[in-house]
Amino acid sequence: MAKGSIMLGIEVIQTVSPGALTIPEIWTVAFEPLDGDKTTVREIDAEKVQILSGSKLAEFETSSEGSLTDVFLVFPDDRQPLKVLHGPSHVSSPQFAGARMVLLRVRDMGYTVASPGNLIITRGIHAHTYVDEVA
Amino acid sequence: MEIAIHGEGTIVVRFINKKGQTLLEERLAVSGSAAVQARRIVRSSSR
Repeated sequence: MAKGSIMLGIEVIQTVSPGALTIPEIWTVAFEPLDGDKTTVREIDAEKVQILSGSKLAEFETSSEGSLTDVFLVFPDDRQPLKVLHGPSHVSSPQFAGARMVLLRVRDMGYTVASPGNLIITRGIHAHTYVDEVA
Repeated sequence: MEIAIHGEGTIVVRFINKKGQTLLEERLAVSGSAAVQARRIVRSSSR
């Protein structure tokens, strides 16, 4: 039985305290099983807000872009490779038959400053996708 | 380090050094159906 309309969302908010020299990259996936019917990815999008300051970096940077968001459709047959769709996209994908899982992945770079140094960063990323599965 | 989440919800992870100071705080929220799962991979080289 098809799942109907599905929304998958991930939100990551990072805050570094004074004294930290490294902030790890963001690599996060959310995934949900499908029933192997006909799947359309309607939208892939992400929003990012970042305030970054540190020694040997640009003195002050704010950014609302730069995170990478992708959707993967997984098929049970080994001969059928993953279908990878890159965001942002507000256009419906073609219809894919047989997918058994949908994954939403969000990535963003990490930062490191040399010691002695300082790094101040706060960033928040929200990514989501809308998927329709019909019989 | 791998963090696994089953179902919708929010977690807060703090990376704390030997002196008890929080170096990094992450808030991770996942939304979807009851069947949604998530993974967060962290290469823990924070100092």
